[in-house]
Amino acid sequence: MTWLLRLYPRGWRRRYGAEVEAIVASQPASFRMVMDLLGGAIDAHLKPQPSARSRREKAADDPGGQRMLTRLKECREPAVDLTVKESLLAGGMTIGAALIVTAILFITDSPMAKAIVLTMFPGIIILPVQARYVRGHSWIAQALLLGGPLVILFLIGLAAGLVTSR
Amino acid sequence: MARKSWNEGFSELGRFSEPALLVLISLADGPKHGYAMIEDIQAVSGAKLGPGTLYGAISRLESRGLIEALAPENRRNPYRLTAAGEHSLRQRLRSLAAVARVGERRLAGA
Repeated sequence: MTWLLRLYPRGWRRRYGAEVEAIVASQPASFRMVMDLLGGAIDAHLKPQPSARSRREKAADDPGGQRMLTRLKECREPAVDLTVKESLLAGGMTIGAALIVTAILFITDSPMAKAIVLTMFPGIIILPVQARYVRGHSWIAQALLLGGPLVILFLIGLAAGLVTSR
Repeated sequence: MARKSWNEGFSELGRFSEPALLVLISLADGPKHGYAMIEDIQAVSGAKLGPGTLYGAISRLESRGLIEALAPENRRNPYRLTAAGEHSLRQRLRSLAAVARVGERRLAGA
């Protein structure tokens, strides 16, 4: 029944997987245990707990200038720690944004509108991934860090549209 | 001054508040690994925690600094109470005892 542990997030498995596997393997399989592990997997995806120990170890193993390099490596694969909800949101926003941009490009002949939607499109589809880095912070910080880049992209699109319209 | 909630610090753990309390009680007499906790909790309370529930509680307690893992032994990580965990457990048990005393007094007077 240890295959059920594959349903848990990778970070959780790295931290607790071996311990739980040993316990599961030592007990007889039962419907109750299946439901317990399924419930635990859903909880681990929906409410991931930051590990105090892993934070301390990371700080100790990664002093000084190495921290920035480690952070950049984490950014290289930002989707790894997305929760199920965030992954669904990312997929939904990508599809939604693609449909809206396609519709606008078909409907309008305005170079201004085209410039703005084409400039903002990449920003919109990576927004849920960016959101991963700011979750847990105040709503003002989240609004500034997520909305700020979109406003900048909007202004760039606006400038491009103005230049094209002339 | 507002009265402190009897469930303060544990209510945020949701459905894991009771398993978390049982884990803290289990660790009160010394470090234990997961399997030993399951057996101890069953002996103390009669409740048999599944591994999903147990580690849901352990991850919450560990992330809040109330317990900490010791060096692994044969793929098993023993856990122990931290000073913050001991303080939190004492407070929680005092609150529960106070609520229980009120209940018993009222039943006696009924």
